[in-house]
Amino acid sequence: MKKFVSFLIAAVLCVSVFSLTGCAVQAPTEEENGGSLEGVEFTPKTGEMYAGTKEGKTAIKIAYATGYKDAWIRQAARAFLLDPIGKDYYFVLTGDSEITTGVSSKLESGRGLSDIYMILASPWYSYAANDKLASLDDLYEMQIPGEDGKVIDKIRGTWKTYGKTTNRGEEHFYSFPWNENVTGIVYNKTMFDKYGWKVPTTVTELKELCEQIVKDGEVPFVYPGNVGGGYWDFVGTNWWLQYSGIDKLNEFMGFASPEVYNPDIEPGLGKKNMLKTFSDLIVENRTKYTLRGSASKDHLKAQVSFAQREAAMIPDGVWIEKESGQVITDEIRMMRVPYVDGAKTDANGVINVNYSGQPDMSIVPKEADNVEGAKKFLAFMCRDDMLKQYTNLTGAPRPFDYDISECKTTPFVKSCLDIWASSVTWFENSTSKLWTANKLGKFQTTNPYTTLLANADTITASSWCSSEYTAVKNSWDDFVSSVGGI
Amino acid sequence: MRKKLSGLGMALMLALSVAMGGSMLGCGNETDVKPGEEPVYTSDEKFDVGMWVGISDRHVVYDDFGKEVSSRKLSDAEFLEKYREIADAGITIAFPGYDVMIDGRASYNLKALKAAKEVGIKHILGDSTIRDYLWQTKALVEGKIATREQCVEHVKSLLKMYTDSEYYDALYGFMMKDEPDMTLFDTMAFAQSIFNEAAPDLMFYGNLFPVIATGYQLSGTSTSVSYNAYLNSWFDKVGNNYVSYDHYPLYGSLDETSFEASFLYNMDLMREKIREEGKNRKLWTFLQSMSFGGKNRELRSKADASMQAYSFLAYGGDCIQWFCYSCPPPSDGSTAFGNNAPINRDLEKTAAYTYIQQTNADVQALMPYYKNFTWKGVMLGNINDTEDNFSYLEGSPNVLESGKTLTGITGEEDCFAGLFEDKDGNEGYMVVNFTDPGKNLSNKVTLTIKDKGAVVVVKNGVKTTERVKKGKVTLNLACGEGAFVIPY
Repeated sequence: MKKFVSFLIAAVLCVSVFSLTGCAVQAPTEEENGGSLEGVEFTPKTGEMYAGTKEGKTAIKIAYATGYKDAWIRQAARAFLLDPIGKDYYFVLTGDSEITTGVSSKLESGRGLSDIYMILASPWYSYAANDKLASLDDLYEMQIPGEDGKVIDKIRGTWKTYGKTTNRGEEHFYSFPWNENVTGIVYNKTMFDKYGWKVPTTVTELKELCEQIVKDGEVPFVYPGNVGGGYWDFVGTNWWLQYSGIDKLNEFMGFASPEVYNPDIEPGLGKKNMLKTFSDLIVENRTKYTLRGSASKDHLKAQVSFAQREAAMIPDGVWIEKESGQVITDEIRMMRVPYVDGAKTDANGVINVNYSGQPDMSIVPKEADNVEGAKKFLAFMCRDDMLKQYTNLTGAPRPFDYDISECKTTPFVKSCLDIWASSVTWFENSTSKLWTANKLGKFQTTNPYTTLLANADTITASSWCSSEYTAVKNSWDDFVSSVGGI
Repeated sequence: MRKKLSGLGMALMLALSVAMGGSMLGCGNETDVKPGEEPVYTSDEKFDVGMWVGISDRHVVYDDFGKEVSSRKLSDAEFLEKYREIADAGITIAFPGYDVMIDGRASYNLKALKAAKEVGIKHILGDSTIRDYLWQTKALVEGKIATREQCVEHVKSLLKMYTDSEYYDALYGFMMKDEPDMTLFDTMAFAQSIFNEAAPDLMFYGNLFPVIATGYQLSGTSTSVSYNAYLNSWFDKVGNNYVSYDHYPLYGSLDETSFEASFLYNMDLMREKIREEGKNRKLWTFLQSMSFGGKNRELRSKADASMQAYSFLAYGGDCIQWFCYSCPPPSDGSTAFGNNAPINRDLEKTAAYTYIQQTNADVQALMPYYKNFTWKGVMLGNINDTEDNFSYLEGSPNVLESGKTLTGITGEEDCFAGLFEDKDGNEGYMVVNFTDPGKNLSNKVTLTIKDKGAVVVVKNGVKTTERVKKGKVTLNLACGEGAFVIPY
């Protein structure tokens, strides 16, 4: 009888779940969860996860961008709940593909706030300046649970300071490193093997490769022209870094005077050389080196074309496998962006750099219900095992010191991680008011890549850079005045 | 005599109901209310439907990389034909073509005005001479270089070529500034006051940023401001009888789709500001009718267009404008544009033309009813909040728990209703299937209605009536559908 009652309850529950959801929400598979969720209860419809019971416990609500799917956050949350540190908490996990755009209005409304937002490139310093974010100073100084070191000591490179900005005249950390990307040229290894093409290490070799690909009746590149600059900046900024070096790009991002845009001296000279390299290779040969219709493709459509062997290479990032892996059946790899002639060197040869694209970060709203729980969880995610688990489940690194060689990854991800581990990663970072107020940017007038492609006979790399420099010089005083001086 | 019989009848019914356990007295069981007389509403007032990027008098051909490879001037007959298409699409206010939108040439502007008049629509024009002068007027007057009266007279003289034109009555106003930051508000406010004095019948048109703009974009300075502060400043400084903004909700690629979470929130904030100001400004917005950038997708169905429009109507909107009517160039240097606006770059109609045309027609079919009502608020049928829009509205003064007659709304999926009242206090509702139209979800929406026996339902251009049964009426709303409902 008891069994029958249980069966009835279960049946009623099933019916009620289906009637509420219209059968839309199915239990995620173990693969979607990144493994077993043993030890915790997880309801995909509500995103609630708890160990034992949630009664008497405090929620940590997390809204996250879904580019790397859901497994990484579910497993991280599970590990936290099963650890003594998480005994007083439960989670509400909300994957939201549009949260990066939506977070500004979420913070503006102050309604239904999550405790953590994990978002892609965003003007988070604007949210901080509007007093919408919690200070994370204590998180950076927190000891990592179960480890000896502090959080800040484990953070890599630019990220050690990137999260700081000024609010009400005081400087604090307001954003926290989430994810780091590797960008460059992704190639179809199956096609390369079939035709015996060699992965190029220099731009000269890349040009020769493109010629060979064309001779073999294939198309070298597809690119997503609908998306900012057609993703060419993942190649272009890597070239600029090779030409000018990280110090010069950091000098550029200081925006101390319009001279940083001067195309005759560094760092502007490196930008001009980079665009000239792009122009010589891609713009001059656009009809034979790029797939017809690329200019009107978005990133997913371009990735489908790449998956269907319509082109052998695509400017892209480490995320491509997660984003379009279901349609990519061939073997793919990331190649290090081929070296330009005159790339900066040191005693070990060419200095390897990785442009990560603009960074992905976590922020905690000041008005969130559970700021302290949010910080504890973010610190917990800095543990070695959690970092490795993240990379295992996403194929992407996080900007912390940990041994990625122990991560279990696909061959494609390994090719990306090899580049990442042997490079200095750089991304745009500036404390200049001209940058935070959106008066100046890496490219000032138009996007140079799409502009050069669309105006091949009339605008050159040099003329584009000159007009950019002139435009900045002409507006400099107004810009400086509008931000109250620099 | 009739009164006596009625009294007798009432007594008999009372006795009967007591014998039956009080079922007719509302003591627990419900009985259907007898409908009153079906209300009759009429209005000749049209809903304003505008656009961004109209028809240029040049047809430009681009190559695969977005390079302009040739162009030719449209003949007068071709140009007029294109304006007929604008009118046929249900557009009531045209905008200039891409290359002449901001800085229209006199020859183009007069030709456009003539075409608009011939097809029976209005036109907003761009004229940089007028705008540039207006932008200077604050400095001119404050610097005592010109008096206010002189500025007004000069603007009148600049407008003369339009005001003297036989097509003048087709002129709706002038495009002045898209997405101004706060540093421009003082200048715009002054310019507008001059313009309004010179041309009180014409619109000084400016369009505000959406809520997703950054605090620095809004301020235009190194001080980040909230959207609330941005709107407060605009309402304080730029007095006018309308407020306009743009916010585009349809995202996706291939067969993927998602919906911007703050789409309703932006409307809600605008409504809050209009209410606080108390001057009942008209509410204008742009809605999405093409793909652009890396995220905003093309219209895939009529539902994509109609869901946006009905949502805005449920917030009591006064003018929708389609972004865009005609395709801009493939790239403007920073943003890429698809070739799928209602009119493509070959100047041909696309599927989106039909989608907005049908939506515009359905919206106009609501106007004999809608125009008799005043917006009061919204009621949410929050089932899953799948599109995450409702969570932004928690605590909003515009969200009502109940109306006088409508006491509840629920659905199989998320839905909401704009609540309106006519001049006599009778309610009407703009009910919307609020699901991402890309997901093709139909929705059975149930309204709980007090003390009324029937409802008028206007949906897809057709008016029907439905009985209220056990205090409820159920509407079957297909994906993207909305209905205007009036209980009686």
